[in-house]
Amino acid sequence: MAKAWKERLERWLTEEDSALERRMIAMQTREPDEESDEPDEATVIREAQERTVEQDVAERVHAWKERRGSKLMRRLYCALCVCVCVTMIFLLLFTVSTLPRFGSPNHPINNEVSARYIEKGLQETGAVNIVTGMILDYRAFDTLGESSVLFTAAMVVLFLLRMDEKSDQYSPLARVMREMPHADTYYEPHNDVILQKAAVILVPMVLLLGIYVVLNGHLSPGGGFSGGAIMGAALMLYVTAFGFKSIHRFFRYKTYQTIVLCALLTYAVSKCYSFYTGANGIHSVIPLGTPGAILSSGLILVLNICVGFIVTCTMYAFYAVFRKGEV
Amino acid sequence: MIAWIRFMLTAAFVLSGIVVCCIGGLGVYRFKYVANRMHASALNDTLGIALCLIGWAISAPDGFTAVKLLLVVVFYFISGPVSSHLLCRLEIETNEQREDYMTVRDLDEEAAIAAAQAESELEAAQDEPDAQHDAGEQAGFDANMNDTEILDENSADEAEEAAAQDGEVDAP
Amino acid sequence: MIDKAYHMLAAVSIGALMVLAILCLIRCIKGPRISDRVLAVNMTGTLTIIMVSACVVLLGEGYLADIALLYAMVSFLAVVLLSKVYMGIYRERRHEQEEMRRMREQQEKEAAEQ
Repeated sequence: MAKAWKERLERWLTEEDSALERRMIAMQTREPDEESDEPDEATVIREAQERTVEQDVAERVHAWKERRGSKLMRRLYCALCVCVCVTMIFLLLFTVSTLPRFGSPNHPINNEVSARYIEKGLQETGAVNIVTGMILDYRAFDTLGESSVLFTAAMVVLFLLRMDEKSDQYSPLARVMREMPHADTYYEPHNDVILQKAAVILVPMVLLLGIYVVLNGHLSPGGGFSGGAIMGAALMLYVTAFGFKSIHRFFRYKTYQTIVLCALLTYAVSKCYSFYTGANGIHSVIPLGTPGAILSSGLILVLNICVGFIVTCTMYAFYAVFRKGEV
Repeated sequence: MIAWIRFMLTAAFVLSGIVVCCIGGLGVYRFKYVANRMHASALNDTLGIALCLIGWAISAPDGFTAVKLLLVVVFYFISGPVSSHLLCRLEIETNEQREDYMTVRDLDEEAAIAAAQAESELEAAQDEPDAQHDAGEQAGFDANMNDTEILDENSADEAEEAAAQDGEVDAP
Repeated sequence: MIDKAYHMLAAVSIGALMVLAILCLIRCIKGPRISDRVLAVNMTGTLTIIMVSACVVLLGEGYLADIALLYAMVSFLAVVLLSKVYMGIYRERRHEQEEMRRMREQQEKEAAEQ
């Protein structure tokens, strides 16, 4: 039984190529063949003399990879995928079966920290949404770190992928694209009137939804991160419909830098103030307001707006850099 | 009593919406070609979601939530046709054997032909001053020398719009 | 009593939509063309929105309606971007192939002249 399976597996792994694969391999390997056919005998002999053993071996390995290796790798990849998936499923199911019951009183999440948040959270932070109260008041330092990480990631992507206009490697296509109206990228269809008419209606709607989510961060689920992602999506839709030349009227690299830096600085300064008053036991002059009102819960609203700006700009910058090579 | 009436209304709307969704989903699963499937999916994107969400909005916990649910329907009514258009464009662009499944009208060329025809007619009209006068009155323009220019601009605009639409599909 | 009725209604509708979503998933995996897959993903998004709106009423939580709105937006954006990106890739590849063919023809012509 095992032997039959082994034989079958071996046959499966070394089976002849199917028609489609043969055609693909032929397409991949055609050009070197034709080029090697082309030159006359003298050059062939000279090349053969110059050719070293390493080159020969490398070429053979390359040919094997193209003929056999790709298929073998793909089959192995499929088999390994299935193995890993099944293992992970069983591992996770086993883990879940050993967890305590949902909502049981001796669950490890029912400790004094969450009890404190639930009992005193509303009183101390003024935020109806307890999660926002946690991430922007009790753990605001952590959130500042998250925003900075996002900013740093965007900066690194810009360092790596941004094309310098003055360098030689700035592609001519990008240069052409900069001047084209409504161009998103070079090869894609531009100036799609239907999409533009829809975007005129939808982009303000989506932006409003994003602003609503940001401003209601302390009253309902949402907040800076999710609202910022929504507004970034609105900017992406705008770029897709109207192109980079249109968005450069109000959003350039400089705008991005200014907005993100101002937001990070505002965040840091307002958090410094509350750390200072909190550490020294001074009463903060910022009122907490009535819980449930839009102007309440002290600094949380300001911090939410800052985080929203950072996330919006970063989402859009990622998209633009990966799409075009500059913001 | 009112609660039960609300429930009955919700149930009627939602169940009819689910029936429409089932038809659309089966269409997406069973039909043979993308254009046909798009037809089924459009049914789901407009009628199905509208009926279901109106049904759930009737018995929503508060008015604001109901408005938000209806806003989803409005959003879908705007965005659904656009996404269908883009999908269709993708299909026309990438399918090299599309003639087996559908005929594509090139509105760009048709508009160019129409514009050329209009131009030749105008030239013919310009040769006879009386005829030009009549044509100007019929079209509602003032019969002055700017006539031809206005007409030219119009046809150019039409050609541009048609170029943007790029193609129209008649699925078999 | 009425709660039970609502539960029944939601269970029936969510069950039917689940079956449809699985059909869409099968279409998404099978779909011979890229537009089939994008279409199936878009359709799955629609079904998910209906499920979420059922949850709004079932759980009595108004904020879930925000999620439905967001989901509609995201699935629209996904279709727009995916279709544009694939069109761009296809055109670029075709352009490159034509360029290569032209170069090869030119080389052959030069060789023939020599």
